[in-house]
Amino acid sequence: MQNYIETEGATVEAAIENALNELEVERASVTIDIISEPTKGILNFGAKPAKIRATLKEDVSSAPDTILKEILNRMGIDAEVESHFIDGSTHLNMITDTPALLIGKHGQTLDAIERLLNCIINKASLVKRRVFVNTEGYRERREEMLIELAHEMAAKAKRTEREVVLSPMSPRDRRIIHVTLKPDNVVSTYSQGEGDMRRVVITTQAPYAPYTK
Amino acid sequence: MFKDLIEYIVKSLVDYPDRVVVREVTGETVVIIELTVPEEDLGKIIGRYGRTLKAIRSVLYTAGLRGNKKVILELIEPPKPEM
Repeated sequence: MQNYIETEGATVEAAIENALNELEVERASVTIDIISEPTKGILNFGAKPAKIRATLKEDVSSAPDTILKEILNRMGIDAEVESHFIDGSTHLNMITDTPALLIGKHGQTLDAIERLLNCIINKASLVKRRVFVNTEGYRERREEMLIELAHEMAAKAKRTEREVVLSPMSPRDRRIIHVTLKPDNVVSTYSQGEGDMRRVVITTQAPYAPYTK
Repeated sequence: MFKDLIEYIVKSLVDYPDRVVVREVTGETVVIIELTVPEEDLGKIIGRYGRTLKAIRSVLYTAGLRGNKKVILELIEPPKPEM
């Protein structure tokens, strides 16, 4: 599909205006390249109009925030969506009166929405674009909570010199625990179990076995 | 209403949106959604280890909470062409 058009006008601005009218889009959804500036000529003789190329940035209906809005709308959830582009990833923040509904148990609904969005957006593209979905700072709160939990449970493992088995968590949550305890030289972590039952185990690498002899 | 949601999500995921069929059966407390997609698109809907299908069910479940309905999604095997 051709995603650009070339237009002319007496001035560059007029040429852009023509392009926008023809494409029926806002100024924000195209990038403009000036092909040639207008020249006055002498007495209207040899005058040349400005020529520009307007390229559609991307199909607006496939923008991550638009898709998210379409889904939320059909879920019967009233929400505003803010979109930020940071380090090559899209971060979507939902503002709603019912954040608990969107978050779900341990962020289950948030994760489901995020997964579907990523599947839809990367369906046909070779270059993977990551989309992150958040609401009410949930991701940050959860991370803080997990870091605290990791330290507490590591302390327990050291105190009791026994393995501490945490409750089942999503890969994202487990990763936070692993990363948090990585710098700790006394305990190490691994995961056990399959699928939804996969959980982190914190273990002390005891230099000696306390109950031998 | 749920039909609209599932249709939007599924048709965005598959390669052959025209061949997606959704049937909705509404009961008092339960809504059953019967989804049929062409065999070529089954993988896109199910995902690795069924994760995508699980995510779809999760979103449907949340949408159901609003109207106090339990939404059940059944993936119907696409009809095999007669040999």
